[in-house]
Amino acid sequence: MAHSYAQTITQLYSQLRLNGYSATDMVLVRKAYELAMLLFSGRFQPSGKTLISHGVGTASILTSLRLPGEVVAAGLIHNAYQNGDFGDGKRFISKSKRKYIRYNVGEDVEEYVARFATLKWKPENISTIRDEVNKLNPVDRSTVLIRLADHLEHLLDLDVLYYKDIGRKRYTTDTHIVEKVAESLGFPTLADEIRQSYKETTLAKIPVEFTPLHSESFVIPPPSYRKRLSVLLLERFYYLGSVLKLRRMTSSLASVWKEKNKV
Amino acid sequence: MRSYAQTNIQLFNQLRREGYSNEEIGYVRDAYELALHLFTGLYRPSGDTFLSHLVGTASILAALHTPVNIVTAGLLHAAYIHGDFGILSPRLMSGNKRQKIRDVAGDAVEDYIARYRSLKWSSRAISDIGDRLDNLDQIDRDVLLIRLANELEDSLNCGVLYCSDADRRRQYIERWGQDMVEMADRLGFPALASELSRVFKEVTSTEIQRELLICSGRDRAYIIAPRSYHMRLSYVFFHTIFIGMRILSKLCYKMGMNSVGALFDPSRG
Repeated sequence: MAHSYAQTITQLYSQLRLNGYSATDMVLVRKAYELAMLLFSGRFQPSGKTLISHGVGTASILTSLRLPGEVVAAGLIHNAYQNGDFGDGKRFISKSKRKYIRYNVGEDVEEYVARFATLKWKPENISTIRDEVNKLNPVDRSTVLIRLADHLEHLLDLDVLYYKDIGRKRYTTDTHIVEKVAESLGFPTLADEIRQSYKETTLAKIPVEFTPLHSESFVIPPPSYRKRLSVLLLERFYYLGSVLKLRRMTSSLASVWKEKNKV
Repeated sequence: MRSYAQTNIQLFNQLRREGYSNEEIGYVRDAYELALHLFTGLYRPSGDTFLSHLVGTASILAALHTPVNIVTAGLLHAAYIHGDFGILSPRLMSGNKRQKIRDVAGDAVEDYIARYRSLKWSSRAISDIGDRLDNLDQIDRDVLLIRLANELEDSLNCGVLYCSDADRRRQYIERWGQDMVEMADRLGFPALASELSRVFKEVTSTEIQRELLICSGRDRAYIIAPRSYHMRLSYVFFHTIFIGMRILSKLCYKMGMNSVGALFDPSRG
């Protein structure tokens, strides 16, 4: 019926056991999953699939490639710095967040996750990576593999067809370079899987009734919960800050324009 | 290994393959949208998201080619047990809750879910249902089918063994598993019967390391809210009273004062 990659932790455990991962590796994966529960609870992919399932799916792809336990655990929480809710109202990577992740899953796993957040992944960067695969250090090499697994996971089950245009394009336009990177890294089966899933995605059509609603991931909190006041205030503060920044930029542009006209 | 859908998109793809119409799939999608709100942040004791359990139950029912109403009821089957409606009445079927389900899924599906909530599933109840299965009306037979799909989904990938009360759950399967297999057969679903038999066998013959239990293992579903959110004050107050009453009820039962215990926690009675 569906593909054979795990989407839940119990499925992932079964796969790890079948693939002969050690008890230590499985405990590390458990720790990463517990962290994922804290960071991604209530967050969904644009298709409505839970972000936790996406993390598990990515980890499952890495497991099928027989990568070390640390890489599998990092795959589970790969987007922690982009989409994780640390409860501080801030987005992106910071010292305190890094400390928190290190405390929960250890330095090795955190290093991959941090590298995932900072690795540039635009078509021109992907081409460079493909051409210079041999120059990658071991951490970057594993991080690129996590990127590839993440890309494949988005294509599985026609997931991206349920995304709004911008979100969908991100994963369909880069596919032809991404599969080449997989080949250059020495993972032809992964390249085949990416190619096959892309083909299925482009050939398939979803019913008209399924108008995609989101292009980015979104949060649905439980109805009996509300946003913390501190987070609300901080969000307003950031919003105000960006509005002021925009105003300052437009006024400086206007003054430059005026001066040019005077001349 | 038979694999059932665990995400909404896997379920939609399955429904398309099994020949359900676009209109029917749209209907299931609407029910999933409701489920997103009712079960967001909720986890099974095994650590799996509750949504994946609901999707899995619906997927099992779809694999049996049941009508879309039953598949949808499978998707929302625990609404009155674990759903967070934002209304201060956990585990109760209030008029507001029932209306909310009816608005999205219709009267027939709501009726299944309400009956599912009322279906007793204790040791005595299981043997009682087995005795009078042939006399059940069609709706009750369908509700029993949803219950069996729920039992199968619970045990897939040995999920029940990752709960803190794994031994109790294993004993329950050893004691009642065969009865459930026979029920599935008598309901006219031999494929479900053989799946139940296979999965129960796997559960009774597998050992799980205790270190793999998520959050040190729980024995019932629990919520982990996004970290930027906290429980509304009214709920904190209500929950404190609710938990206090459950503790009092447990104490009363222990002391043999069953009727007083039932007053504090009617769901135990």
